[in-house]
Amino acid sequence: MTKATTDALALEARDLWAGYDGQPALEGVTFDIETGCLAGLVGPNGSGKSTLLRVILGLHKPWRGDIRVFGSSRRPDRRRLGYTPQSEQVDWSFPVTVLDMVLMGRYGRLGPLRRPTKADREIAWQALESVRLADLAHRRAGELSGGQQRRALIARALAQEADLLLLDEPLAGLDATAQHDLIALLEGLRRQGKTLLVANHDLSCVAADFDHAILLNRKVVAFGRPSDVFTEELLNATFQRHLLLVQLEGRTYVGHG
Amino acid sequence: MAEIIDYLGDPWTLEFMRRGLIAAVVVSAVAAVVGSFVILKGMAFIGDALPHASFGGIAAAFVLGANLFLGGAIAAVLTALLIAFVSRRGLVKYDTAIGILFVGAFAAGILIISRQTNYAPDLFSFVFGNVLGVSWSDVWTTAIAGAVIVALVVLFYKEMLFVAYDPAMAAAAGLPVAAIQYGLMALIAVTTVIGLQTVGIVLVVALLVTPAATAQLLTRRLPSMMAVGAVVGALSSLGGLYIAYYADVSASAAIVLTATAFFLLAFLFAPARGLLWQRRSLPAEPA
Amino acid sequence: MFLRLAPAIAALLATLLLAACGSGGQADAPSPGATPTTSPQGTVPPTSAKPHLRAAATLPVFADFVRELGGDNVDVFSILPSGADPHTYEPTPSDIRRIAEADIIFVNDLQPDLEGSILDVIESNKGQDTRVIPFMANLISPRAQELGDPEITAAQAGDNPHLWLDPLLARAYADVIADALASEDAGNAALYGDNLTRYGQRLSQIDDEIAAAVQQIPPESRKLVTPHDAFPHLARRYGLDIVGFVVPGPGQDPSPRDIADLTRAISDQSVPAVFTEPQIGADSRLLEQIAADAGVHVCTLYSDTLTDDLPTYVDMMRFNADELLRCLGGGSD
Repeated sequence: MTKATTDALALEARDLWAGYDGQPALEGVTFDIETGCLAGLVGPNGSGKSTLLRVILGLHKPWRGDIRVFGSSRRPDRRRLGYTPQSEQVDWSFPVTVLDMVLMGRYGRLGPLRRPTKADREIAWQALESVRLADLAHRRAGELSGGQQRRALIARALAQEADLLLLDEPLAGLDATAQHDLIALLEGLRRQGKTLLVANHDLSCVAADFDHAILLNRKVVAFGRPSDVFTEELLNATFQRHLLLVQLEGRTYVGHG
Repeated sequence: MAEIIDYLGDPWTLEFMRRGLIAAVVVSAVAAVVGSFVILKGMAFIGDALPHASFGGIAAAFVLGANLFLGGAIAAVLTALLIAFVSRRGLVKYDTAIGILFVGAFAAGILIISRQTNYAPDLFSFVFGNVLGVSWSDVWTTAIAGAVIVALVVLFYKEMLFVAYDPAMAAAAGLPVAAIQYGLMALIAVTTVIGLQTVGIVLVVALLVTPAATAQLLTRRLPSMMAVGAVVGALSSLGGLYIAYYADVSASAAIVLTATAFFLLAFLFAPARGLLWQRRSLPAEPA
Repeated sequence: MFLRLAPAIAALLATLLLAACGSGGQADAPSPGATPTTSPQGTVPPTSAKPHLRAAATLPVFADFVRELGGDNVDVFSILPSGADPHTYEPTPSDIRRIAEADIIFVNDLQPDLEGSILDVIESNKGQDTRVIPFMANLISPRAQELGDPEITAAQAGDNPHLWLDPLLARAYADVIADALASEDAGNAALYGDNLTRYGQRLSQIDDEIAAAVQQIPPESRKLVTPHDAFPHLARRYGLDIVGFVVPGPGQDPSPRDIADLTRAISDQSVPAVFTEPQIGADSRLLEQIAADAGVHVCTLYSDTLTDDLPTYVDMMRFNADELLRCLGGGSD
């Protein structure tokens, strides 16, 4: 009973302030994310999404405020935190196969001077299968399509056996079909008990698929269920331009005005 | 048949040819391993930049009466670390940082020397080696230092790979990204200095870049890229020395041109990636 | 913790390892001048009489000649300081000022082979009234007889530029200098004539000394191997045989055949020792390696430059003579 309560919240942020060179990127950010939830972190470019992810990962020191990961405010156990960077930051011309890439997810656990073991390879293969890339394992990472590359990055985070996955713009640049496929994959992971925080600057058709959404524009404009927070008023406050909400067959679509 | 054997064996009856071959092969192997990182990170002209930067250290060593070779090595390593430091800030790219710092170090050397005498650039070429002029002790030193460098790359391979490939994720996974980046730059610097002082500036630049680039066209994974690069470098050295011997030309030039020829062959004919290969596999016109 | 330090330690170890076994090392470094060697004014302190003439010369050897002939009357400076390489030298602003103020500038030749870009610097910066006097165009070629033209100059004959290494030709250089000084400063012509006579005797003397030294070398050992082709005139004067050189000029890269031929020649002709030139880097080291392979000693000869220890032409030639005798004169192991 106690464990369930303390682990009920995967992520707690209280009054986080952080920035670069004296310029604030996050102002008084406060929110909760429950374990086993697929949460969206939504905001325009420059709203502090990447900064927030870096603060959660322990890569960037906040000026003040508190962040707890699975109930602990100590330095996060990196093995429980998975991270996929923005696709543009990855060097796809590097000579690595998809399997090599996914295996890198195990390196954090191995420490220096040790080689990946059979068990590590097993886990990597399973991760590849869960994102349906197992048949492309020996291809060069750069030969994959955009959607496949995102899945490979996710597989790498999975190979880490992380419980909380932070994904930075995994949907960017994908067409609608690919986005739906990816969200379906993330929902599958959620069903396995993982917690996912997905940073997004652009919503288009997947808005309602999140369990929770945090609207961020340096400050938290709102957080809660999509039906509560995806209102025109709140979205305009977040994006500071006019957005269009379209209801179609019971789904909400967010578009540009 | 006996004639062919003579033909193949003749150059190696000369001791300086044997030494030169071993030195060039060793440098090729180490340079291909380290050079793979160099070209993948877009730092190809560091092979020329660091020897120039080392001149600052040579000048300082000269006025202090210290060992010129050591002074040059220290300057090259320091410049390499400074390049990493500047690029990590993210404000300028690697090639810009290299361009600024190496010429600054070189000019510092000229300034130091001009306070005393004015023969700065002559000191510069003083530490250059010549592949046909290496001594057996040079060969041993190079082999041992090269083995240490390669051993380090093997030991820390996965960390170096991860940090070179995706520093953001590597940091998130808890790796000491800064230390590894500095370490890689130091290895590049030491490799360049060893090459410079053994086989000279022209060869070290070429061996750092060209065989690795050739290998990149022929392999899919980094470990095989390093291995193939080492083999291509060794073959270039062997072929180049044969050409130099029989055509009576400069050995450095012959080796470099052989390495370049291998690259062009790969560029044209590499399976799936070569230019001519791609032309061949264009789909047929629809009827 | 270890992970952080390991690459740095390894790089440092590798660097130290390289340095500890670095070939050549300190012994071969050009001797650092402890005192700044910017153009010494002259060994004679200026007297109350102001110098009548201002002169410049491209090489320290020529400046030495001018000093000997001009005495107090001439303020001469060498554009290239001791130890510098003519092909890579960069003059300072004060050098340029003195070039502009010079009355006479002595150069070896108008071809840039030896003096490189200094000739361009002189050409662009000399004063309105500055006379540029090229030695090689003003003396008869030592091969005049051979070429069948008694009047042909060294410049026209395309001789190797290192003519002054033959003291008799150095005397011809001195003649040129004395003439030039006298025509610029006719009032002191007699003085210059006296200096010429005096210096000519010293040159004769050093010529005899060198010949005597070479006499003591067994004839089969009178062989010269050097980094560059700088000594044909010296060799011809004293009957030395030029077995070979590493490269004809600096910056060139010898082929394997060149090296093999030179090594073979050294052993076939039983050359006792090879001679490097101290201010040349890579080519000298290459020659040292060839010598090590052939099992012969390495000695030093000076050609283009003077040093703090050998500040005059006569000192330099005497050193060369002693060195030739020491290294080629039989009896050495």
